[in-house]
Amino acid sequence: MSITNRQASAGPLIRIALAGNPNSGKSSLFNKLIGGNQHVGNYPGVTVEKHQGCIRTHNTVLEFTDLPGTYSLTSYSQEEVIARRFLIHDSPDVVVNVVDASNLERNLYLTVQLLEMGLNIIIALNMMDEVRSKGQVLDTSMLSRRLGCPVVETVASRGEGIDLLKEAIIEAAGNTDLPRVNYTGILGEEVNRLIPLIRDKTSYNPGFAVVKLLEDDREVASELRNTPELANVLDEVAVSMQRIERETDNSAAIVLGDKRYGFASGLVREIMVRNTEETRRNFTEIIDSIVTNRLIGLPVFALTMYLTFWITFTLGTPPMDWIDSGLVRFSDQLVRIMPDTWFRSLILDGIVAGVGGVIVFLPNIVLLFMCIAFMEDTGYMARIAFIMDKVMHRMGLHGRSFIPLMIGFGCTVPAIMATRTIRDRRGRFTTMMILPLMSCGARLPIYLMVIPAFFPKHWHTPILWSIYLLGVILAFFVAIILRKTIFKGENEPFVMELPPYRMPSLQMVMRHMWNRSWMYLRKAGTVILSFSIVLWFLLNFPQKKSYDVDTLVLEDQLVISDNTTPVGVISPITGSSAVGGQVYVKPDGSRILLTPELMERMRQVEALNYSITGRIGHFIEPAVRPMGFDWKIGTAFLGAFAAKELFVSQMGIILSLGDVSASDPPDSETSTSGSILRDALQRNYPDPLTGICIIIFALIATPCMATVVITAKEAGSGWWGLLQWSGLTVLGWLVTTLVYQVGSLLQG
Amino acid sequence: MANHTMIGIISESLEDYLETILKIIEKQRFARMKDIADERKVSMASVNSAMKRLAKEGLVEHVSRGIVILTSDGEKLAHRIVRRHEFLRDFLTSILQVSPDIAEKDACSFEHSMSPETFHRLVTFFEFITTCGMDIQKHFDEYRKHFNGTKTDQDFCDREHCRHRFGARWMHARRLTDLKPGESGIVGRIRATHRIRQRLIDMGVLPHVKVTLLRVAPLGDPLEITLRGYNLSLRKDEAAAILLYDDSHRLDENNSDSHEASSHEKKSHSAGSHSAGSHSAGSRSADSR
Repeated sequence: MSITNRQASAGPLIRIALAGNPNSGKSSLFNKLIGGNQHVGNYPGVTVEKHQGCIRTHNTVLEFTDLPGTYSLTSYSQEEVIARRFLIHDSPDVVVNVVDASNLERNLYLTVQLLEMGLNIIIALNMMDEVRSKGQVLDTSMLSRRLGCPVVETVASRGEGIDLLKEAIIEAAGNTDLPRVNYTGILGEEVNRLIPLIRDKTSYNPGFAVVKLLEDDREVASELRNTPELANVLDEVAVSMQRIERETDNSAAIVLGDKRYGFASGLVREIMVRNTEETRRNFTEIIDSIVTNRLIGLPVFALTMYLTFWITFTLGTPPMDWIDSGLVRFSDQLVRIMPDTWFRSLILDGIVAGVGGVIVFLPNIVLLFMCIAFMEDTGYMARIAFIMDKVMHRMGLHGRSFIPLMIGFGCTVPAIMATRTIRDRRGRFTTMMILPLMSCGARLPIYLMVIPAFFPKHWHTPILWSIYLLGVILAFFVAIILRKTIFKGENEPFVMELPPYRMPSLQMVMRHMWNRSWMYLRKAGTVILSFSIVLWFLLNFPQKKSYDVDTLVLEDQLVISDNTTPVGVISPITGSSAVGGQVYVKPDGSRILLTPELMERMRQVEALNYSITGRIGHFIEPAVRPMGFDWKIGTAFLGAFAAKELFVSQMGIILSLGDVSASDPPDSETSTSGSILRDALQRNYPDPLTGICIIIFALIATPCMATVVITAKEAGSGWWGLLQWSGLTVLGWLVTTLVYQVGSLLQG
Repeated sequence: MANHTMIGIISESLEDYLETILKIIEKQRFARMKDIADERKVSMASVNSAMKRLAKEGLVEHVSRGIVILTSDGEKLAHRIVRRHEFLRDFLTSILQVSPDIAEKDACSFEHSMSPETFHRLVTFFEFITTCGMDIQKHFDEYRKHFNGTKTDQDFCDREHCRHRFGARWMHARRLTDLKPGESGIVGRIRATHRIRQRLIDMGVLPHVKVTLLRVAPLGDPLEITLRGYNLSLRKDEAAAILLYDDSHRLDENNSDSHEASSHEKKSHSAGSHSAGSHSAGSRSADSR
């Protein structure tokens, strides 16, 4: 194969694309080139990130697009399709091919394909520091001659060669002499035979189109199939493929791959002036022999996962508390200066709470992404996928799905964001859908309230463990089902590089971390905030102007007691509406004595019932009854949508009515009132089966609003969020109903 | 073929006896034990005990000393056995183009060990091929024409535009998954779906490349291999698609993946067909064993 030269053109604004293998230091180079003012968007129609940036230098504007890292330009993975489309349709003026000099053969394979496309290329021969430290010497000018394009040596991590590269780009932009690839042998013959048949009939570079057709590339073939003039070309291509196979005993795709790699390895031998026979980075091998070791690999892995978890959540708690207390202080101030109106409630319970709801995730997200960025950039992430793939594969997922799932045990929101590391679209979506089943930290208060209320002490831990286990088992099966139905499709090939371990630059890690966090705030923050306000509205409106309890007191049907001693158990008798649908009389028929606190609570219950949320709660009662729930539990779960903590507080509001003895002053939703709530639960729901049903439903069906919003954002459409929410709710309903009905039958 | 329930109830050798008896009776209405012994080349004692067993099953009857006839059940069963034998023989010769004596020998051995279900399906298949619709016949005739019994080494189809590769000789090839950690092999062929194959090609897994199995993941899957100076991990089912040349195939260790490249290099400025010829001839001889 040889390279000859052709024509092209330049312009005042230079548009540049960066293409190269993953792990070639491309992102590093990109960041050094644009100096940090990056714009991150999406490629149209997909959720792959598009990184772009502009700089001004030498009176020219250079606009850079960092394409996704690819090993090739076939049309199987989303990254490759995107990279290819950009190169073809967006017509960059210059393409900088970032080549990892310490892994030349494989990197040059992509280079050849870029040359096949007839692009205006510059090679950035990156990671020259590794080459030098290995004692190797490369003849860069020979490389340049052989490829027919400029080659600039760079060390992106240190910023070496960046200026030279910029100059080379500007110079190359005016290049009219583009390299082209010629094949020898039967392949060359057939390519030359087919090119004239295609030329001028398609927007593709004819050489590129022919080669892709011979490779049986689906995308190019289907595009050409839609062009009537080119129908017979496809037949000719079939003839060519057959001839090639006859001659070489291999399919055309293999012959092409062979030629390209052949060229690459030949080239490597030519330019490798001095090669040291160093076996692959000893350092990497040593670490891997521990990390992926058959015996100690798993324990080491468990340790690193534990560390990640610890950093994300335990280290993240102090900043969260700090933010939390800041918000509390702010709220207190507001309470002090604003009168007690619905407006104040809107600000406090709606906006401030909403903002709090957004910011509360920030420390976790920031730390998590720091960990992930570190693991990706060092190359450790690939090892994680390597170790866990067996389990993930059974679920129809890729090893990369493991980290998000693990993080989900802490909090679902950052876990959803972590699914960005999953390349395969269907696998990613499946993971996002099942993530809420990894029982997150916010559900813990629910469990901790409910379990002790229904079960004796030595049952607590086993039940807690079972709930977590149930979540995992369900996730396993739901994933399998999803992968067979909605997200059906060929499994993405696992074939994955295990790159050598590299120390990432702090700058890169920080940049990754910052980008993600900022994206979260910008995209999700606004939506979560609006949702919070809407939910606040649903919970607080319409407002009652007057309360029944006050009216009854005025009518002398209820008496306020001014002492705080218990006046006996109140047994609610449903019947005529007195206070929130329940009449309270003592067994002997005499009227009830109320304490002011109890009155306040009764008012709260009335308000809740009057609000939209309360009404919905009553409305859906028939639907929750098969699960063994009543409107109280149903309403509480509605509140849980905003934030799981609300379930606990809602239950508190609704239930505290049933217990006059609970008259010690309730200050806030703290654990002292927790025990009160537990007692209230016990009294109202004598059957432990109800307890089990509550925690099962809480496990499955209560993704918080933030989760749903983030899912919608990451998946690219509100429908996905809706699917997640409704799917989980239905699943929760089914499982809980099943448990309740079977349980009731067994109890007989 | 109606009722199969009787077949398989008696042992192989007894079935053979029945066949023999039927053969004799077709010529001379009854069978002398001595004839049976001669035909089957066994001793009288063996024939004796076989007859006793067959009589117990109600398949034969001693009419007088040394002479047996088939009962009506015995006759039915014997006919079925014979038909089965003949069918298998015909299937082998007419469908699979196996030579007649090999077919006869194999039919003799298959007919006893084959389960009724398999046999039934074979029959259905045969009937489908030979009686159903023009199209099938046409294709099948093509098959018969190009894969007739003489060309045993033929491994691809003669047909004009057919690209099928019948890699029968790769059936017993070692796969990447057969390697133990530390062992190497030379890639011979990739047998996988398009998607996986393309991915493997892109990552440099091509014929004549040396690959070494480095390790297996702690949970048993996936595998880590080295090739072309870097490390690749792949699942066992993907690795199983990579067939290796066996050890008798000698390739210079140093040039394993460069032999193609060097020929490319030399030809980088030469014209087409001559080098194409020598190149493919080179790969041909490398492939044959």
